Amino acid sequence: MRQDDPDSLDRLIDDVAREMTAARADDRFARRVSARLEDRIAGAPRTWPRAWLLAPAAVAVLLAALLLRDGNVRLKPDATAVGKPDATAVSQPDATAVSQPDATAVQRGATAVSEPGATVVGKPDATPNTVVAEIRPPDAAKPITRLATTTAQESVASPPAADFPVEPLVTPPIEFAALDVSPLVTAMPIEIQAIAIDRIEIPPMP
Amino acid sequence: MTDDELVAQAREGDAAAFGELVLRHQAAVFRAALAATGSASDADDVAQEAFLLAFRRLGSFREASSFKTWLLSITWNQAINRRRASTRWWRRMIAFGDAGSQQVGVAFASAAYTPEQLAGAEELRCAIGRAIAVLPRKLRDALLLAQSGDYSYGEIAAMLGAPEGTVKWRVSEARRQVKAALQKQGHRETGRPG
Repeated sequence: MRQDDPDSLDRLIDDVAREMTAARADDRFARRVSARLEDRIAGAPRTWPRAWLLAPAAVAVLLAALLLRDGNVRLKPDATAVGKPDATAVSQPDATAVSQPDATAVQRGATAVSEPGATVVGKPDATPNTVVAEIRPPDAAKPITRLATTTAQESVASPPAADFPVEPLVTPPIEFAALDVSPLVTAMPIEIQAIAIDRIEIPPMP
Repeated sequence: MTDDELVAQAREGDAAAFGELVLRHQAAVFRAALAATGSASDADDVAQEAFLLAFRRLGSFREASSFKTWLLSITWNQAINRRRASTRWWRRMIAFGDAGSQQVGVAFASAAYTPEQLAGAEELRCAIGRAIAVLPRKLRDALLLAQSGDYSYGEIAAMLGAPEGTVKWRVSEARRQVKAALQKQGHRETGRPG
């Protein structure tokens, strides 16, 4: 076994390489493959496509049920459209625009009164507040969305139609004594010393 | 019955026809998987998966290549995916040196060698196994597949996705690098470390 014979060494390398893949599959290999194949033929191809078909169908049924239940789809969560038709919403006196910037009449704890043509009366000293109100006339098919800025003197008539009674949400006011705001940055004075230049000499142009 | 005829029957749902294809090609598929994974148990898994995948994809098989070549390509891809996922591969291949040397010793015992020659040959083959294990993957894959004896260079080229000439060069280069590694380790003239 001399390594100086190149052919001999090549053969040796080939032998060793062959041994590295010399193992064989056992006798039951083909049976195992056949068994798995039959399992797949019997099981997976029939069930999974059905499951994939059922999933979108279930979602569609769910959506249809929700639509039928609500009667409409409301896309703006801050649009106040809950209440009885022609109801009047009156703002609570202690509701502030700062703590509830986009609160609706109902969310402020307003009381719905079944009086046609009534208005929303704001607090006299309330801060101007931006409200997106969805006004749904009783005879209109499409809701009208209006961007309005309310002040204390302004009023927004709005209660839209609803098919089911909803109890108004009452949010208790947040009470705090005072806000202690410390300065964010303490600026150090910047001292700039004068640059002492005796004289600048500019040579004459040639 | 030819492979193509069996494939046509299997496409129509004949599981027995596909079973015949499994019997015909299981050895080649298993050895290709073993060359890539270095583990008999992994090779078994990969070979099974390859056959199942081939059955599912029978509809996409075109007779541009032989069924065996197509099947081996699927097998190789499956095996490479398994190899990438396995971090134990290198340890297996390095460990081959020890296990392989024992088999080599038994094989050489039948020949008329002196105990010294046998010890040297065993050591040399062990060193060759280690040198093959640390070859660049492309070279090692080509060498192992070429020496398994189950595949033509054309089939190896299809498996590896490389031209046939490139595969031949890789086999030759693998041998050269193994020899260089042996020389570097001092295996010269007598086959024993110098």
